[in-house]
Amino acid sequence: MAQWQKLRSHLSAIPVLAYLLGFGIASAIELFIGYPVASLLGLPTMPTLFGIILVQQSLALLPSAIAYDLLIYLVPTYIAARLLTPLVQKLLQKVPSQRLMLVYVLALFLVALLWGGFHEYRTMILCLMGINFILCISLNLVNGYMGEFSVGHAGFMGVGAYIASILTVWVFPRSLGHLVFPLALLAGGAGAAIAGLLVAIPSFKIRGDYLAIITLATNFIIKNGIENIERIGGSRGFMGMAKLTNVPWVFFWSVLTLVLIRNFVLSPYGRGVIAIREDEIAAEAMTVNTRRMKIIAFCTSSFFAGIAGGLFAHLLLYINPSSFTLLKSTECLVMVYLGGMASISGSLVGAATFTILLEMLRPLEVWKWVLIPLLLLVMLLRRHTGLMGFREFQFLIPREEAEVYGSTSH
Amino acid sequence: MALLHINGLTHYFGGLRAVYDFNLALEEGELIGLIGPNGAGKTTVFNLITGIYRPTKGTIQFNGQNLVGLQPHQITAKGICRTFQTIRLFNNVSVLDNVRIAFYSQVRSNLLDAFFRTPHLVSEDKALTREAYRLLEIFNLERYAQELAMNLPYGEQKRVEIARALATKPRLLLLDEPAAGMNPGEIDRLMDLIQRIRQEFGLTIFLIEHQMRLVMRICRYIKVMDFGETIAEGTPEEIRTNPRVLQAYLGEEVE
Ligand SMILES: Nc1ncnc2c1ncn2[C@@H]1O[C@H](COP(=O)(O)OP(=O)(O)O)[C@@H](O)[C@H]1O
Ligand SMILES: [Mg+2]
Repeated sequence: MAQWQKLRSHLSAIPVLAYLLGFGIASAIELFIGYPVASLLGLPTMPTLFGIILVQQSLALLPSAIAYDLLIYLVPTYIAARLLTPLVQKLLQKVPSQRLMLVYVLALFLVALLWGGFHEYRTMILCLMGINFILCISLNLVNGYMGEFSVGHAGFMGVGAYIASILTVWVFPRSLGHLVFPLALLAGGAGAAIAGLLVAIPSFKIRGDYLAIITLATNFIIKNGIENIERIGGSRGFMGMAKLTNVPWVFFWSVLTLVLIRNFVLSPYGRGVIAIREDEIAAEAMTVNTRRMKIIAFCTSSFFAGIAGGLFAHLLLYINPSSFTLLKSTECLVMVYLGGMASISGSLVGAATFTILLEMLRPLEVWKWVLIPLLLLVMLLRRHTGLMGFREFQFLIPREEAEVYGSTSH
Repeated sequence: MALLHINGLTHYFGGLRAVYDFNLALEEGELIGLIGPNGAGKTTVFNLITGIYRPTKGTIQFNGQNLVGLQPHQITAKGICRTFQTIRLFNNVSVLDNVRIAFYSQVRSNLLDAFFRTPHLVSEDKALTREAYRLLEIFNLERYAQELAMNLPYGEQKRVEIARALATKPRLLLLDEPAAGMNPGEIDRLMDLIQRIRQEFGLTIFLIEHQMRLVMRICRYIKVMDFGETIAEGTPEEIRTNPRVLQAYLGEEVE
């Protein structure tokens, strides 16, 4: 146990940024020696997702896959991170703290491109991670920060997906492609926000926990509604979108979502939202307009779900009503409770972990329907606050707030 | 013109008459007390004033404006703030943020400022943070600023509640059994504190006490309730010797 402690403190002494850059270097090395190392280890192809897919095909490949991960990722990342530590520490001191997030964002983008930019499957995974992150952080605003229980996030995602797709396929000239893509996404987000408003107004009219039941119903209504509109394909779905979603776009929208929601929750209005979670009556007594804040938080949450939907549609190039069922909503819930309640860092961790977990569970096929709700149930029953519940990575906190709170995370 | 004017205030919970024909004309700067046995309807009076319940009958006017029908947050923003009989802090939030939340209605930055964290919002928030620290210092709580409210000892939590209430910039402060659960030494210090903030913030104070110890010492005027009705009112001396009060408190100690 003592050794384990020592290892932990040794590893946590290395800054996150150094690990990130280390992983980037490992990915760059993989570009050159990935294939030879894989064939040397007797793997049929180069592992695309840390060998998870290969092991699913044949369990006998597990040792080789682990060896590959060690050789290509773990060891080089660790060595590079250690070597880079002094340099990174100097850099972190030099960079003014309000620019710190920019440094992390750029580093993350570079690393994402290095690791995934050259493989179609990895690009797909990265895009899904970003989309899942947007879904997760937006749901976290309502379920984590505000402490309400919304269970129909996928419904709003569906609204955004259909609106954005209809716009890019039927309305906007195809030649404009990427130029009008943001407009289509924003329109999808706006549509989802309006749907959110229609849910929020009656739900928050009276005090009490009606949100769960109303969002549940809304999810069904949206899905069945789309199914019955033949003009947009009904249950057959809708296609014809151009492949507009790529790593840069997903990255851009993820960062934008992160920054806007972070700013909001750290503002006086966001504190009002948190007060609602803690004690609604006391919040009102302390001048917080709880009804207004609930509606605003819920519409914001729906808006970003709509953006995620638009990105999703232009990644898969085919959507149908059953992409936006309660199972998808449950996946969003699992991400929130897995990553961490009321935490932006938790949403990052939750989305990344869950996306990979989902790939691992792929062979289970329909059993996913059993396992994922079960996972949610266990986490809810154990009152799990998640890996990063109520905590944040330091670099996500703006300077003024960090000063107020000293060096402690909160 | 009284600051708070209550006329014929009556409230039923179903068939239970919790408050009946309550009247009050509270002048600016006064400190008055409301006492009575458990279940007399005292907290309900506060809940009616602050808009948590809508009265069955009666009028409430603050500074000449009608309060009945307003939302609690609107009433607090007009200048009436309260503490709760059982502490209602924002538990999983730092003490500093407990106070900062109470600035909500004073924030001038709009939602767009919040989403884009404009310089306007940042500088306003900085000023609010300084103000919150200043309040915490008055209550000797600044060393707890970053601590979660639920981790504080009981007495400190009670003081955070008062500090938080003051952050809403009230003219009238309603204290619901501030001394509950305190020992005599703590009660003495609380009385000093109440007198001090009353001076410093120019407050009018209306306080509920279940025990008579604190009320008799700092209030010049006291109202006594029992079973929803006002059974007596007057100076501490008058109250102490009033036979109806003695009867209401029968079985409970009267100082
Ligand atoms: N929300 C409520 N619903 C029903 N009855 C209530 C409610 N709140 C208080 N009461 C009842 O109203 C009466 C007065 O309560 P309260 O104002 O809390 O008394 P006090 O503060 O003087 O001890 C009590 O009989 C109590 O049980
Ligand atoms: Mg009471």
